[in-house]
Amino acid sequence: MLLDQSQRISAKLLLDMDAASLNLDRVVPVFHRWIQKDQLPDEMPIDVANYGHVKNGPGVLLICHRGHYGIDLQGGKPGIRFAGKRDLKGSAKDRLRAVILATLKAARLLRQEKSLGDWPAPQHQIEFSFDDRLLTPNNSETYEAIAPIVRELWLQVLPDSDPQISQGDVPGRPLTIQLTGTGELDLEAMIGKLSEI
Amino acid sequence: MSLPTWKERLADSTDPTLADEIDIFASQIALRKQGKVDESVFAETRLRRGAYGQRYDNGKRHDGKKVREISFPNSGITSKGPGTEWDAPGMLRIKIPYGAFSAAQMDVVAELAEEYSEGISHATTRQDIQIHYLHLEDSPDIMRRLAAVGITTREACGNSVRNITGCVRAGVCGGEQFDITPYAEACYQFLLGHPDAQDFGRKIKVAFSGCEGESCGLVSIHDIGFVAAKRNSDDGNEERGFKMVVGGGLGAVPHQAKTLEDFVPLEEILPLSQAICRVFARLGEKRNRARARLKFLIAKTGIEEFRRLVHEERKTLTFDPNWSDLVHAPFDSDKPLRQSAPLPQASGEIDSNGFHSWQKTNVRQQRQENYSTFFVTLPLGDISSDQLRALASLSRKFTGDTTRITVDQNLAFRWASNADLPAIHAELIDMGLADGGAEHIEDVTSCPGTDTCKLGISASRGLAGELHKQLSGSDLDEAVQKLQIKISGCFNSCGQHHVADIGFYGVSRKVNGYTVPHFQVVLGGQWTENGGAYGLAIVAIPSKNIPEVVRRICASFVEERQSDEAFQQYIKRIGKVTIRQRLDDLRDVPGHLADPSYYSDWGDPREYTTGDMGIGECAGAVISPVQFGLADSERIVFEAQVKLDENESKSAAELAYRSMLVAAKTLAATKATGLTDDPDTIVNSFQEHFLKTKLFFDPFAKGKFGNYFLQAHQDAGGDVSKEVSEDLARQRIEEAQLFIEAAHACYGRMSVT
Repeated sequence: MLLDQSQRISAKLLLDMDAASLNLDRVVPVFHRWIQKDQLPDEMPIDVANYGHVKNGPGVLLICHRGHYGIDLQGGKPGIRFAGKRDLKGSAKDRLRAVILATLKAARLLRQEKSLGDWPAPQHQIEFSFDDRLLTPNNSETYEAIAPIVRELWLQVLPDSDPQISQGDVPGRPLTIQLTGTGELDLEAMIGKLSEI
Repeated sequence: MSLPTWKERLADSTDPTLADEIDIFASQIALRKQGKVDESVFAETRLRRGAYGQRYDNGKRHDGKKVREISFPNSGITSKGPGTEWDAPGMLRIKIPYGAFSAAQMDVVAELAEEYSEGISHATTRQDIQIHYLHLEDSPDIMRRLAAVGITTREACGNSVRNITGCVRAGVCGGEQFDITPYAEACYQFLLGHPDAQDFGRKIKVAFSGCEGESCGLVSIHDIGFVAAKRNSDDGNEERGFKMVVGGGLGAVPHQAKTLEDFVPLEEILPLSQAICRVFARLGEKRNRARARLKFLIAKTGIEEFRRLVHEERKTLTFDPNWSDLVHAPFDSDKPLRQSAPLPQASGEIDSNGFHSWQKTNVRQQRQENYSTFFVTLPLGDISSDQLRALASLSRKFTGDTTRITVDQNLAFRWASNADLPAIHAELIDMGLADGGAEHIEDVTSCPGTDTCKLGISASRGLAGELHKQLSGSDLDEAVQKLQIKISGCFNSCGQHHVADIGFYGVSRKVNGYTVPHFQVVLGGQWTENGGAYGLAIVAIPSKNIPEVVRRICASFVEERQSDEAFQQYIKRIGKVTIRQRLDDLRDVPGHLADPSYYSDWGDPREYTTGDMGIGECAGAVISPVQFGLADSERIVFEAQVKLDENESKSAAELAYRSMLVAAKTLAATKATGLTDDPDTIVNSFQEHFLKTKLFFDPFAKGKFGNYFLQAHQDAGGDVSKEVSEDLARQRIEEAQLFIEAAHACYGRMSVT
């Protein structure tokens, strides 16, 4: 397992809503506006891609140089996702921290978008995907190596959260780790803590 | 500690030749990054490996308010080619010969899309798969992983022999002469990397069809087309061979392929193809890309002379055992995985889950009893990695490796036992892939357009998605259900709009000081008979009114068709003049304040224009003399079409030329005073102010459209008594339309500055 070398890590913060009730067309202008208004100052945004016509697909994406932000529907579970593609640096924990931080910042921005109306609250449920099949193959050995890092990082951010961690079991997918905790997520506080680590 | 690599991991499972080629490409990437390879040379190198550019790869993007620089890391240090940033996302085109897509290949493509891209694979109109938003430096690993499942991206782009396409129902169709698959495979193996196919001015596209009548092979739109044929040989036995056609092609100026030979024995199809490549490499245009396709060479030489040249060349070829060995090589044809059995009796469950409506549109009986081919409709040709893996699993369970990518951007699964169809349908429902409508009106074909293509003018995918939404589930009359709608984002015709019943291609118009996305409406095309006839553009309509165009045309066809009259015959009988009149009011664009939606494109909320931002809404629409003049030129080129429909080729060509003169004079009048109607004066003025200054130059096509005008002017000064062929008249009309579009674009640029 070489997570500390991997560039392809994603985090998806699940939303408390049904996939069928999500109107992705409303997200498209939001992402375009983020580009216009430089609302992701750490990113180099390139374009917006709408795959809302693909059932349980990647949804609507804001394509950036470092990775892609998306309102993702994969697995039939709507969520806010950041999929890192390059420029992740440091230890395994640093890399995980970077993708979680990107995801939470996007979630915070989306919550502020009035045009989206009542945007559902993020659940205390996050799904990590380790997309580099060479460096982080989907097997129990990799899972056993990564799961403690995920737990340690999460407890640093939310010390009382008692996260339940499990390995995803969808055939063919890259290694997926699901983390479920209790209580509501305070995005602002979590972003603050992650930024300090 | 050294990191594991895909190269090491896959060393034992990769064909050594493919592995070497990819290693060389990886070295070329490294050398280019060090500045040791010329950028133009590198651009063609990567294109020949299937690595394309993508929209905004020049580091500039209009965000709806202004053009923004995208400051890619290596900007100013190195590039992937002229005007192409090193770190900009690109597209990889993955060649799938005749669309045969195995389960193992599906799994790998799904993984690649997931890891390196955004989790979407896109099926193209030439049976390829494309993956977007890739970084060039990842491409060698991607290619290695593809090579491990027998796929090469070599010659997927560039001036080479592109993917060889073929009927998806080959071997299972009741109407075919014989299964073309082994011969398409032989041709692919023979021409891939062939030394005689490396020095072209442009690409060559090859297609195989099992019959004359259907559309699956579309040989008429290909540079080299093969149609299965049989004849009785001297010994009384039936002999297999192919009718060979050459010089077809869509693009800006489409040409129908012409018959090279009515019957070519199997052993001759490869040497004759080789001879065609050599003639094309030797005599084809090299400097002017706009005239470099095989169709232009044949138009220049005439088919008789071209035929003579090819046969002369054939005589000079050194014998190659592959000519015979490849076409007679043992070929592992598709075999059924499951026993044939009839469809079970209807049950409540089957009736309630939409099986029968899916079966009606998406299942075709094979000639083999109790076996069917079913089609999985992919919305806009897109499929997620999860779906692709699920389909791979489905094929392993029910059909084996019999899947083909279709030219309609769908997937065809052959050799399904009829007894399994309900279970297959149930699994497709779970995957979100059980939509019906395959090869029906709602199954709209589209190129990538402005979504990802550098050349896109209008949002073809956005429009296709909207039409799909509006047409799906609507209670359409039987007569229109099987009409084909095909959309291209520009005149280059990757969406194959010329051979659709109703085609569209993207253009823009300056209206009320804003640039407004439009589509030209193309009618008269024929999808059957391998793309048997090409339609022509009759009028440009704002993008937002296109759904109403479709509604009106369909409604009038349903109302006015005579007995079993086909759509193409109906259009011919009613006439384009009438159709155009019926669409005339849809040309109007409301003021920006009244309806700003007209000023952005389907699925893209950005304001379409850049030039007139900040200029307030006019109290009333102010039409400039240029707009009037260009509208007049459009009227004249439309009259040219009418003459062509009336078989008056000479008048049609003259009118097409005159329309260019009017457009040229309109533009020239903005720079010169006192212009007369004398053609030479107009040409001189246009040359001075628009061609020499490059003001008329298209950002990508450069001076191509201006040259159409100069050529037409030169021809007009020749022998006036000379007959004009229908092909030439059609070509001139197409060129005139493109010239006028370029004039609109030029006027748009002038308005900005």
